[in-house]
Amino acid sequence: MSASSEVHVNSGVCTAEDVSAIINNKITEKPDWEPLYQYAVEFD
Amino acid sequence: MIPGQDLLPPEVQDDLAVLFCDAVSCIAEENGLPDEVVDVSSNELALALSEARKDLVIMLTRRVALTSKSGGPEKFNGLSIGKLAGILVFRLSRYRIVHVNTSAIKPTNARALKLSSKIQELAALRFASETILKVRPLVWHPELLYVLSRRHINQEMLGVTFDVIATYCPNLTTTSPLDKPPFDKFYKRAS
Repeated sequence: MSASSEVHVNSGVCTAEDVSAIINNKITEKPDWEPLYQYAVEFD
Repeated sequence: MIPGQDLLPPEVQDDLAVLFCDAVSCIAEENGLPDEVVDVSSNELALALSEARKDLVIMLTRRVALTSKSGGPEKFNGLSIGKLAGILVFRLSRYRIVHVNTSAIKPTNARALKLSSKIQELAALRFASETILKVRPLVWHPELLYVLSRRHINQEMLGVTFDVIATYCPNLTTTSPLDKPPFDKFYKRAS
């Protein structure tokens, strides 16, 4: 596997309209953040 | 592509501010923190987003210049969503944006007290995962939370990390599919 060809480090976001399109495309499922909350309370 | 193009004009910064505040509210609600103990500084939030805008202008200018040396600016294909998320998460976790009045939390509520000290970093990660990357929380989130809140990382390394995550982690479902135009140019999966 070639990291340079597989990971798309330069791609797509060229304009403010692109950013708006990304942030306005809302998710339609509710992810479970409880495991991360649990981790957060385990360290000071 | 114009070098120095503004990816975060004021109206986009306003939208991002609302979405970040939504993430803070969701985390507070899901962890039993009453609204009255959580305060978001609109001034600090605006400063963070303004600085993120400058980071993006600089990154864009630098990358267009680099691409110009190897084929012309027209070869530049835009920044990745990982870089966008990296810059935003860095700035949203560094300014004094979220304040929790822990004196209003019962000393016996250890969960709320401990979570309060990382709520801003939690919100930045949740905001980036849901709003930009569209990835579900996975095993990499705890490590990033720790590094972000207690160790050191900069916007560029966060960007590289998010690039890998965006390429390999399963996506959340969205109103418009990520594998169809115009979103397929931002969300490219590993082949």
